[in-house]
Parts: sequence; structure tokens; C-alpha cells
Amino acid sequence: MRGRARWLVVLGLVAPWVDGCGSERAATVELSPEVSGDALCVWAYGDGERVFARSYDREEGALPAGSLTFVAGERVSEDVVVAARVLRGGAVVAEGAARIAFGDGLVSVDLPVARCQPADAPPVGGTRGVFAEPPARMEAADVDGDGLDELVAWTGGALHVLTPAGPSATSRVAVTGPDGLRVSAAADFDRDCGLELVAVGDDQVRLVSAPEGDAALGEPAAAGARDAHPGAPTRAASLVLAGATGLTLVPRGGEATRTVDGSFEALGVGDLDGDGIDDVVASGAGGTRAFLGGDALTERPDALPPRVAAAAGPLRLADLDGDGALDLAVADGSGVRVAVNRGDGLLEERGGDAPPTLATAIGALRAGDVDGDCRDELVALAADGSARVLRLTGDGLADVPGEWPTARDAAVATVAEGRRALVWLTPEGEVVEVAP
Amino acid sequence: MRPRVRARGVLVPAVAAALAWGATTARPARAQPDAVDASREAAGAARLVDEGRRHYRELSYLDAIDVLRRALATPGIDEAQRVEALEVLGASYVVLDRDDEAREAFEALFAIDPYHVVREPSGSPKIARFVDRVRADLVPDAALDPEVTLRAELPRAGRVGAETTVRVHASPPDRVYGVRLFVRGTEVAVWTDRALERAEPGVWRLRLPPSERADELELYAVGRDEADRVVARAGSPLRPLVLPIRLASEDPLHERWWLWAAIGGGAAVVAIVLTIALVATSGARAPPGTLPPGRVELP
Repeated sequence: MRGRARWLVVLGLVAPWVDGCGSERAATVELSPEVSGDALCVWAYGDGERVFARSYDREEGALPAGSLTFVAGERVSEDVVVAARVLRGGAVVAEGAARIAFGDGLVSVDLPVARCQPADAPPVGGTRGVFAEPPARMEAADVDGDGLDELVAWTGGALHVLTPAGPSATSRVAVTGPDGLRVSAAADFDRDCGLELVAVGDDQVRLVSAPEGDAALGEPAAAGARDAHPGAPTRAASLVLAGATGLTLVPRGGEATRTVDGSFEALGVGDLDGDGIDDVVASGAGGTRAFLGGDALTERPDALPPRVAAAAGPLRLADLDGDGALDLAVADGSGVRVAVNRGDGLLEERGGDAPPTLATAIGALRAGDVDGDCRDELVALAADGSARVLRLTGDGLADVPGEWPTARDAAVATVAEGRRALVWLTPEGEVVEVAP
Repeated sequence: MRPRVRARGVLVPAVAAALAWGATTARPARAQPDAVDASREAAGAARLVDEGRRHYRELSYLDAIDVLRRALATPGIDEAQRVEALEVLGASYVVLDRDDEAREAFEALFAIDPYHVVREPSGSPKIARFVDRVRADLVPDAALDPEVTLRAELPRAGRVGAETTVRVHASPPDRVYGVRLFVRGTEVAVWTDRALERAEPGVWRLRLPPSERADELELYAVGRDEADRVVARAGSPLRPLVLPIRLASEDPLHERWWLWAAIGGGAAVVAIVLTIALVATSGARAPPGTLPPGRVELP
């Protein structure tokens, strides 16, 4: 009792002279990566810019989990977006973001870094912006790190970045370059928590760094490809290219090496068998082939069911049944074949007896978890602009009811906090949020 | 409710031999007659477990199995190391489709700690499902959910003779219906458990009774869902959280408390008011996080 009285007196006398006697406004963010990878990137975004970024390597076979305390500053004083990604071979395999409002004291926030995120805000619909020059394809990626996706497209010899904020939003040119490129993927090869964009064309493959600001178009990394995705199928972070002569691996900062002969149009990269190493599925005129990652790519002919192996169109790896393992959707002319992963890399056809078809050949497949149930929806886009949005059920692929306008391309994007949406690219370059 | 753990099937000879050898020769470190030998043996086991992990990461599953079986047979291996070894051993067997041996390894693991969260480095869904199946057979009240987390908020130290408040944060709050804290002191082998009271949604609180002497408490918390199944833990019996209980600092001036009181005099009342205001409006310096750099001062 005597000690307490003494300290109360001392505290009372000293407190008015203590600098910063007001409360410290801070947020403790508990980060928990829920999938395996080779790096965890964490950043904070406030006052219109990225104000903190740090990557953590895998240790003792696992990504680090723990907390960071963010203390409010003068500029970033009201709220901050804290976000994180799990990377494997430069590819983003999981992410999470939260806008945190500072209170009077310490705020605690749990931030799961997962393959799928809850989407608790209902779709709104309407125009989200327009590309100044209509592109043929677009990708969704959070290039500025604010927790919301931008839409990026290479068109008219320039990279256009569109923040889908509303009807009056217009794309800006981030960098210019040659005609004929297409953005095929986003990646973070240098682990700076910013995304690089992969642009492919018939005669060159290039990386665009810092698309959120002072973008730079890198030197050609390879001599042309039809599709490209980041990953680490031979354990080193690489670009995997599909082209007319085969599959080519381009390690970060290394020489391109053709690893598989053949003619391929499209590919997907991801860990199919759960061993922590990326595998590759590629399709072309000869059908669809699966390759296991390891010291080298090893073809696994028995991984695909026959009708899926015979399909020669665009493909997409996505978790269609929500079990955490990547499944495969591949276009077969105007139809869609689906093979579900058993979890060990062996895929079983589950699309139903009569696969859904479109009026003309399918030109692109897109996938993403629109409704936050961790099961990816699938968008099939035909060359004539028609589209179907599909969801895997116990009976195979089923249509998601809705009215789908004519589209050149589509994407699943986080357009507002807690709101993931299907966004449609119209032939006029307009980006429209469509509501299932 | 105690978890139900039962033997199932016949031990595969190799695993059985390794476990039997370890079980008959291993002793808790504090019971070893020669502490130096025990320490050396434990270090040897740790090296073998690390080597097994390395082989596993490099996909050399047969080498991993060989090394981990030797680790399990090492005299002096403690239970935490045994769990680590069994975890990787079981995963290696699953990868090689040696399901019987994998089941034996995971059964042995769950016999030690029924709610141990198996952390397989690659995140293989196949292995996760296998582990879930084995656990479901053995531990019916386990419903560990990676989406549910418990985080214990402990003071840096408690004081002898004073209550110590422990808080446990559950996320998401609606998934945890009850939390119990398991505690034991340095010289006590048995865990004592107490129920926490819900202070607010997602926050559970317990005031530990005053300790009569300096101690180093080991603790872990167990969260259960509405069906009384274990969904998450903070700490574990093998990797407990630690809370030192310290003597109040000796102060040479404490005998002259009346002097302070006299100096403070009438200011005491003002001080109390100021202190209450400060406590109400100003938190202490926010604690750093556990990942480097701990604190991020935003611009």
C-alpha cells in the first residue's frame, strides 16, 4: 500500500511533463499465412502511397506467422491499409488486406493471408470506368497496394492502368512500348511487395516494373510467347512461357531454356499435387498436357482424364470445388471440360455428361471467387462476345443466373472493401460491374 | 472432457521398435541423473530431427524416414522433439503412400498431444486430409479449425503476492464458446486448469490467484466450440507460454514512505485524479509485434 501511494504521487507530479502523454494510437496486426509459399510480403498503404513494405523468407520449412504493430503518424493518422501476400516463385498464391481505423489506443486486427477472402458486400453493378483505348484483354491486380484491384491492359503500344472507381474513371498510360503485347500475369519477383506485370507478344516477353507509378518496361526477357505465368516449377522463381516450339523456363535474371517440345497456346502454373512445388498444365493443338515440377518438368500423362487431355483450347487452374487444391478447366472448342483435383495431382473429370457450350469457340476462360465462398466461379468467353458464368456443383458445371453483356474479356476484381465483382470489358473499352 | 485416445491396429515393426526404444529409455530432462548427458542427448535428437526436416524439404523421403526413426530411438529425446519427429515421419510415409506406417506415426503423435496442429511444410491437402482422418478416429472432440485463433495476452511478469490477469483473444469471436487456461509452476508436473470468464465478445479473462513465491508459470489456453470440441489453442502443453512471477523490487526508500506522502501531501488527491485520467485516456506504449521490425512508425 505504501509503495502504491508513493508511485501515485510521483506519477501525478511527473505526468504533465512527460512528452506525448496522450495515448499512443496504434494497431497490432496478427498475420497468419494459410498456404505454403517461399515468401510472405507485408506492406502498409496510407495517405495515397505505400508507406511500409517488408518481405519474410520461409524459415524451417514454413512461412513466418506473427504480428506487427503500426503506430499512427502525422500523415497516416486516421486509417491505414495493411496487406500481405504469400508468394511462390514470384506468383501470388494467397493474399489478405484490411483497412484499419486507428482508435484512441491499441487496435488488434487478425489478418489471414489466404487463397480466398470473404466478400460480404453485395454487388452494385454499373460502369466502373473506361479504357482510353479499348484493349482485347485485361487483368485485375492490386498494383498500387491499396487493397483494391486495378485493371491493367496493354493496348495501342502502351500499358493502361484503370482504377475502377466509377463511371468517370479513365485509364492512365503507365508506360509506352511496342504494339502487339498483352498482359498475361502479375508477379512479384523481386519481393519488394510491388507487382510486376508480364507482357507477352509474338516476338518478345517483357516485364513492366512499378506499374503503380514510375513504370519501366524491362528489356525483352525472351523471344516471344503465347502465354506466360510466374512460378517455381524447378524451385527457382521463373517465368514459364508457352509458345509455338514448346514450354520455356526463364529463371529470374537467367537464360531462357526450352524444357518441353511441342506447340502450346495457353498454360497454367500451380501446385497440383500438394508437394509445395509448382506444376504446369499447358494446352495447344495437340491437346492438354500436365507436367510435374521438380528438378525438371516431368510429363505425367495419367494425371488428366482422356477428354480433358484431348481438349485444345484456353485453360485455367482454379479451385472450383473449394477444397484448397487447384482444379482444371479447359476449353474444348465451344465447350468447357472440368477436371477436379483429388488433392494429389490426379484430376478426375467432373464437368457433367454434357459440358456447357457457347455458340462459337471459346476464346478465354477466367476464374475467381466472386462470392467469397472459396469456390472459384468460371467465366467462359466466346469469340463472338457471348459469355457464360459457371459454378461447379455436385452435378457438374451449372450456370450462374444473370444477364451478361457482350464482352471482350472479364475479370474477378476487388472493387471496393469487402466487395469482389465480376467486371466485364465491353468492345468499346468500358468496364462494367455485372451482378450475378 | 478428456480426449479419447486409443491404440488402433498393430504397430508397424520399425516404428514400434523406434517408439518402444524411445519410450523405455527416454526420461524427462529434470529426472536425468547426469544433466550434461541428458543435454547432449537432447541436442543429438534435435540435430537428427532437423536433419529429417531437411531431407523432407529436399524430397528425400526415405532418408527423412531413416533419420527420424533414429531420432525417435535417441535416449533423452523429449516429448516436444518426439512430436516434431513423428510429424515429419508421418508426412513422409503419406507421401510414399505407406499409409499403415503413416497412421502409426500420427497415432503415436496424437497419443502425446491429441490437439497438436500438424504443420506440414508444403501445405499438402492430401497429408492434411490424412491427418484429419487419423485424428477423427482417435480424438472425437477435436475440431481444430485453422480459421480460429486464440491469442494469449500476458503481462511481462506477475508479482509475488498479487493477482495476475491473463486475457485470451479468440478470433472469430463467435466460434469459441469457452476457454480454459492450463497452468503449472516450476516444481509441479501436473497441469491445473481454470475456466476463463468472457469479458467481452472474443475476449476471455482470468485473474490468477496470488503466488506466494517467485516462480515461472507455464500456461496454455484451450478454446472449445458450442459442441465442446477443441477448436484452437494458445500455446500447448509441449510448447507452453511462460509467465515469470517476480518479487516486488526492493527499494531502499520504501521505509520512508511517510516522507513521500508528506511531500505529496495535498497533491496526492490531485495526483490520483490525474492518474485515473491518464489511465483512462492514455495507453502504454503499444507493444511491438513479433515479426521484425516489431513496430512500424507510420509517417
